[in-house]
Amino acid sequence: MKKRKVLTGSAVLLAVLAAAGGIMAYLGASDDAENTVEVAHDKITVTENFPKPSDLSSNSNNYYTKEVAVANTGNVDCYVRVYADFPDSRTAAESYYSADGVNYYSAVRDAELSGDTQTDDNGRTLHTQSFVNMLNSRDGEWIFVPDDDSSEKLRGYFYYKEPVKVGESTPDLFTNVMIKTGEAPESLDLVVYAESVDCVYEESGQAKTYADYASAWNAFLN
Amino acid sequence: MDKKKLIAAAAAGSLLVLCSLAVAYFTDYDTKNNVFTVGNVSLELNEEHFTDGQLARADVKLDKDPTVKNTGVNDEFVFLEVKVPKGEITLLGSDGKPSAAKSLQELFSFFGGSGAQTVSGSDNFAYNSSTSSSDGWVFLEKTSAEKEDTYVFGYSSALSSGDETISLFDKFALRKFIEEEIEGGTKLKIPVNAYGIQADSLDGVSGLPESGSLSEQNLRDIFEICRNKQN
Repeated sequence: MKKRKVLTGSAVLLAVLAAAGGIMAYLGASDDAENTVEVAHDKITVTENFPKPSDLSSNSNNYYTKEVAVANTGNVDCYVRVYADFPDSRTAAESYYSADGVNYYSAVRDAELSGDTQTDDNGRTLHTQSFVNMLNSRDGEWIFVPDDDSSEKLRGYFYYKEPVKVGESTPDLFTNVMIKTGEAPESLDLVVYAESVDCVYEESGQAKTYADYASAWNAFLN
Repeated sequence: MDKKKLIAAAAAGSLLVLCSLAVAYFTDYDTKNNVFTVGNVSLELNEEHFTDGQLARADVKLDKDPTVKNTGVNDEFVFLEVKVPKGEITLLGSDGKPSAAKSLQELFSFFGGSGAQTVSGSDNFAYNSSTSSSDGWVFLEKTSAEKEDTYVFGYSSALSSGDETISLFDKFALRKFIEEEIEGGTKLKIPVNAYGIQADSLDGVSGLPESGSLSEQNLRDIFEICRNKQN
């Protein structure tokens, strides 16, 4: 009986000591924040609907579908520009671009070409006016900076004038190409190449937005 | 009362005294009402102007202003720990040209307000330090690991209940390096951890002032207790 009392006393003593020990640990607290940021990047893809072309026929107007647009696949809005040309100037002289599949304009990059037209057997209209001249006279979304423009660094490219938003795409620069061939046509290349620049830039640690495509490209190319 | 009972009663009495002494370490009371309130230490890490998930562009400063608020009852000593991610990058100067060979570097810079102090030996971490006339943060240590560097700062004085520290820094920015060395779209974390410990009766730390600013050594000693408590 006496033994049991001693045991009970020890248990109480241990419980009290344990409680005191718990209290004697310093009181502390903590809090945390993960803070995630995403690295900005302007990234684009030339999106083309360009069905595998048939072989060029001799002494013909060869029509092809080639829908050229640029998609913004990055995470910032950006300006884009496109270089499109036939490396062989003789091919360019016999080639045409169309933005509607009906009206075809000369691929020659000469703003002085006149506006003569002729209609082929399929109802398509061939314009001797250059495609770039037509584009600039429309003052639309795409513009071409000619090779003799005062903005030297911008020359030779098609510019989409508005920022392309994240996940969106430009309208087609052109949709069709026509190549006139002679007696013995040879294979040819049409180079399409696109670049982009972020619409936002840094100035004194602050994020600023370019006023327009020209200021963005001029700053980028400086 | 026989001798054994006397000893038992004396032992119980001393236990009760020990217990109430221990309780007195961490409690507050109001004698008028005889209310006995258990003390507590709690805090809140605030970053009022930080937006999670925002885009980081080179050298564009974004708001990030970590502060610690004492949301408990007891006075606290508080600390902030900031982890800065690293990567193999080629840093660029203001002229856009490489300023150093490609190497393992911290990916972000931190900026304080006017009078901010730069961590010794660092060219990318400035913080709002304490001065002779105002409370602020004291740099305690920097430890390096492969993927991140960890900075620890202590606040120069005890924080009373309801009070809040000044911000450790105010802004941060992605450093300027060759594009795509860190793949665009990568999500980077800058974890911030806040720690607090009771300011009263810290027996394990010697030389603590009764009031006012703590020395760097005081803060190091106190943080060591915090760290051990976490581990």
